[in-house]
Amino acid sequence: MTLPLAHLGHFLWIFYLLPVIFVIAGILKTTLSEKRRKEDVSPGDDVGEEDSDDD
Amino acid sequence: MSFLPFAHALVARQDLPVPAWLFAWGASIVLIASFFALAAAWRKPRFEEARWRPLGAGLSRTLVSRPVQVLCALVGVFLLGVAIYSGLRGTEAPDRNFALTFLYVTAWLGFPFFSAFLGDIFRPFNPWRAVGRAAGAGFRAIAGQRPAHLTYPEKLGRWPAAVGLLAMVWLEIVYGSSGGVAVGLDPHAAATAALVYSGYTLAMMALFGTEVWCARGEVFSVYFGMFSQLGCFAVESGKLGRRRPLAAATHWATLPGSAAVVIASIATTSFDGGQGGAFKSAIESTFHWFADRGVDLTTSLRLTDTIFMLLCFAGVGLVYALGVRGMRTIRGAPSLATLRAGFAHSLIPIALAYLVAHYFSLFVFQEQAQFTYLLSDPLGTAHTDLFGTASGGIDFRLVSATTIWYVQVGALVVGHVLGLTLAHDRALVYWPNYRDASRSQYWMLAVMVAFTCFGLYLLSAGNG
Repeated sequence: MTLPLAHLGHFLWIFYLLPVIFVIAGILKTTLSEKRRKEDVSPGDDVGEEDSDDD
Repeated sequence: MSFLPFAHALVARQDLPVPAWLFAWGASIVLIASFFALAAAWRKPRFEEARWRPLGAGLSRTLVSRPVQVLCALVGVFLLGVAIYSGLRGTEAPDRNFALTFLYVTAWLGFPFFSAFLGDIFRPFNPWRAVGRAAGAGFRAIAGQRPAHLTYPEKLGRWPAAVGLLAMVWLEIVYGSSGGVAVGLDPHAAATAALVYSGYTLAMMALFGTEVWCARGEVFSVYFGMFSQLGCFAVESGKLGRRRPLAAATHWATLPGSAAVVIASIATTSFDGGQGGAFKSAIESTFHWFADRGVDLTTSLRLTDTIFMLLCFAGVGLVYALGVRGMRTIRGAPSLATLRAGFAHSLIPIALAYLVAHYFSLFVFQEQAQFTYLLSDPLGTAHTDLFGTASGGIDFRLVSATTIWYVQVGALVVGHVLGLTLAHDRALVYWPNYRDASRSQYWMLAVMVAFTCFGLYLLSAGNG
């Protein structure tokens, strides 16, 4: 069986798209986990506590 | 710019140690590392003040003096005149006529490249500003009062320049060379367009005032001026001085339509880069769709290319809008309109990077023609040799295809890292809490990675 490699060049764009997908996936994962962490904090807690080390 | 006949040098294959797409991965890693370095170490805005300091009084007095200004203005008017005359009276061969290379390579690419380092060098040479100012001075001398102008509608902002930029590039790469088939733009058409533009610009200057129109509607002033915001020299209160590089850009996008100008710059370069490579098959399919429905071939080509150019504009705008939308989700975010205008300047280094990446080789090769045979024989008649260089030519071995590729990758990476830095710096203004500022930049990181990978894909597809 001959693999259809002659047209492989038409799909090279996927390799250029992958870094963008990885970055967006990372951002979504981080955003969701941050959101989940905030929801886990009880209502009485100071949500802005983590920002107290601003300079 | 595909009408100029040096495509053979540009399509030479590079001798790369790894596949081209791996450069996109490498560039993305550099951007991600830069993002985390900025988040960790850059906690106060540093670019909000340009910190302009005057240069030596003697140098400043000389360069900004009236005789030097008049001389520069005369040079600008003279060169525009030579270009128009060459276009109208010279040979129809685009590569032998001074007009096309001067207008579309030397000026169109040279001013952005040099302005990005030196500041607004176009302003003293701007031929339309020179004529407008001279006309204003003449009016004052005769009438004894300043000319009355209409109030410029501030809501328009820089939109006339954005539309003009799209029109200028459309003339060059759609009207002049649709789908890689030369159909229109010849030196005569370029000279006619320059005459029409001169008439339009001078009329607008008469209506709204020379400086007002230069700051908002005059395409070249706005376009070159945008890149000059990255440069480190500027004239303030009649004195030449040095400022912090990149810093002036932070206050450039305050007028409406500024984001459209920079998006138009990236989009038109992308379209020109993708026309013969990445978008080629889609352009061909659309062209055949029109042709099959009885539209004549030239119109089909121009219609197809116009659609793709506008799609590029919409696509680049959409990616930027998504980045801005993402920032809006961070607590304490200002309005969407504020964010849209507030981060537009971070795209200026990207626009420059795209220009360098796509046209660096064109500029290097074609400037050899500009300063040899085109300078000595501007009309291309082969009967003139003004400076004894008419027999000169282009040495295509000056830079190899591999060197060009590394310059392209380097420009894209540096441009996007600078864009990321400007965006991070602005985020610290809107979110004084640096953690929120860093979070807001997640989406701008995605925008930068997307533009980098897209830029490299266009280049690799065009070179392949």
